[in-house]
Amino acid sequence: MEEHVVEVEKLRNVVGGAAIHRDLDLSVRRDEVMTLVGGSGSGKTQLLRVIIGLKHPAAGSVKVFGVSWQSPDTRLVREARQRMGMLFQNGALYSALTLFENIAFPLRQRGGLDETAIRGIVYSKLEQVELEPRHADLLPASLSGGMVKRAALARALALSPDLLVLDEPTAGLDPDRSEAFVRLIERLRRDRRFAVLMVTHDLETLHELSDRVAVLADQHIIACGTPDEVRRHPHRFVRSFFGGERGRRAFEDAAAA
Amino acid sequence: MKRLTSRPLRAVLDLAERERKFLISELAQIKGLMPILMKPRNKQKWSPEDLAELRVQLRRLSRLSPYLVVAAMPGGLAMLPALAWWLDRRRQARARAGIPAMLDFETAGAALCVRVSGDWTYGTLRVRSRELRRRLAEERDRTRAAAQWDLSGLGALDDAGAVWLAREMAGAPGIEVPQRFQPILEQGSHGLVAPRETRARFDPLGAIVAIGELGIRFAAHLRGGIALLGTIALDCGNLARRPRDFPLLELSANVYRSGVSALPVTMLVGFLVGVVLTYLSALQLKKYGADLLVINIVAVGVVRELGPMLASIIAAGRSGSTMTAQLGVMRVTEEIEALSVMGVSVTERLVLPKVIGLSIAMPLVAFCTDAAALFGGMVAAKVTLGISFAAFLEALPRVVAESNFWIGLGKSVVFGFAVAFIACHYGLRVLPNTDSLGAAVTQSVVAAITSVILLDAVFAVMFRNIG
Repeated sequence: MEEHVVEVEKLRNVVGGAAIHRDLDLSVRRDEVMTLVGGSGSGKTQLLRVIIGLKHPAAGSVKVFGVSWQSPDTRLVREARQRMGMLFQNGALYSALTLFENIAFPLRQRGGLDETAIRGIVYSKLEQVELEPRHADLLPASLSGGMVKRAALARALALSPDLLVLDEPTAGLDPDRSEAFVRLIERLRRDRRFAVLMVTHDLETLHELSDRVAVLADQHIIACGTPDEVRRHPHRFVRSFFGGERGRRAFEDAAAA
Repeated sequence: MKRLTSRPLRAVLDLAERERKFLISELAQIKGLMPILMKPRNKQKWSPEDLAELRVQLRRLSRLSPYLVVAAMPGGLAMLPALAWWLDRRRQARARAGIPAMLDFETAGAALCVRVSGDWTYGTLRVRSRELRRRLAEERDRTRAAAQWDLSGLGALDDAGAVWLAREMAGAPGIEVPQRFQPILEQGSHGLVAPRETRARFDPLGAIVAIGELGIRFAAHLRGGIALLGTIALDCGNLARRPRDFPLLELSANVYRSGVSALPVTMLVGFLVGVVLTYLSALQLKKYGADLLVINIVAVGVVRELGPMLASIIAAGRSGSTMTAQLGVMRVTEEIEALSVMGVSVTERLVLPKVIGLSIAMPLVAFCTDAAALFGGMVAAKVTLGISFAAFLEALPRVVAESNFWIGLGKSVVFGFAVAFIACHYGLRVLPNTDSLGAAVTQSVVAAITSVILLDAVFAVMFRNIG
């Protein structure tokens, strides 16, 4: 397997005529949790969109599993896509399909599995994200926010991805649920190895999960390293983000624990 | 030195290099094959290791064999680069997919031992799942013994592999699993014991139930419609007391959107219908020499019936669907809830301007449609019957009573109200999912057009003595 699952080099990204990223470099190693932080409007979500291939960069290269999304070899691109799972901020479950069908959807798309195997995988995924089998036939509209998140995680994990992309995984969850979500990711990563690229504002989630943190400000990555390295960076965003009351507490709690 | 290798060229060179190394390494391996092959001749027996080695070698050879095709085919040499590229691509894809999933069977007495090796993942199973199951079934039929499983040779395991293996290993007397694969395998087996789906069974009373449900649904729509009508009436009453709160801006926006911007399409349709109607009538009337009657037919038909109908049906398709979709999306994104929470009446702010707006716009659009259709009639009459524009216009007020015009406009007010009302009714009933939104828009347009035609029939009976 590749050393780096995501490699972004000299990325230039333009939204509405204005450049929001310039000369941006970022890489995610296999088996690590990389967290992307940045102020509101710094373009975290836009960067994520470029990395997962929803948006073409204006210049520079973006490679996931060594494959550029613009590669003419559609088979390579498809394979790379199937090795990546994405958890959207609001879940993005298909509202017309039941939970079962939502999770089975990528499996059916992938093909080569019989119906019993699909059922087995779906129910095993439901169990892994701590949902009960009786939830399988519900429509997403009748689920609570936390359940939608977990169901969407199950769908993102359906194909056993090597890279999981999380956009604000704990946004809209209460502290208990956030905590449970972090434990869930940790447990899943213990049983099967995959890299995580995550955008979050939640300092506790960041500290508990991240192996490395990349700070996005001034249109590029200003600092990248372990959480402890990054928070000593003198940039004013880093100081206000980690140096505020809440930021200090998260780290002190972690140190005490 | 200048960089003289462009990217594609370098790719080709890389490929050639990779291919060369591959061929050399394969041929070097095959050298080892000869001593083993010679063994039986030297009166030695093949040991199990030799057999395994032979199997591997033969597999290697079969992978090389496509190259032999090139040698055998005339002009095959020219195809060598293409073949090399294709093989390289295939090999890379295989390497990415992992080591093939393998099952080896050993029978020790009555017991069957299944050795699992290779990568058991989505990628490898996709290719081999069916074959592996078939072999396993054959093997089981042959030995009729519960199999022991040995998973110590497993290279990689993901959920597809775990579920596959868990399914086949269910009830096996002995299973040997490396520590690191145990959790995944266990989770895979949990997925399989989940409750079976209950299949829908044939219900002899299904038809009656369906009819009953249809009736209940219709009653619910009727009830909802009456409630909405009542709310609109209440809102009108409230607004009459505080006219300053009247949503004038929304009203004018709605009149513009469903009126002015609908003009081009309705007038075009009106013009064409006028032309066709006049042309067809003229063909018949010519036979009887009653040429001038064409003005009566076209004028009464257009002003009293066709103008308002055409305008309303187009409005149902154009504005009605927009209204339903708009309200529906607002429902899905909880904007309607947000309005209610702020204490804003949803009907007052969203429904009323639409309903009143279309009621105002509809007669205006119908008027323009009338004009366009009559103009179309004039053109067609001139071409087919030679009736001049002046003669047509001069005859027009004589042959159509003015009441027809007012009936037409009056009807279009009601049609406009009905279309907007039905559209809003369906829009507010949308459930927060995408299916429901699509269904609501379809139903809204169908219901609006149907009710316009029904209302028209009612009016035809009501006003049969006028005009």
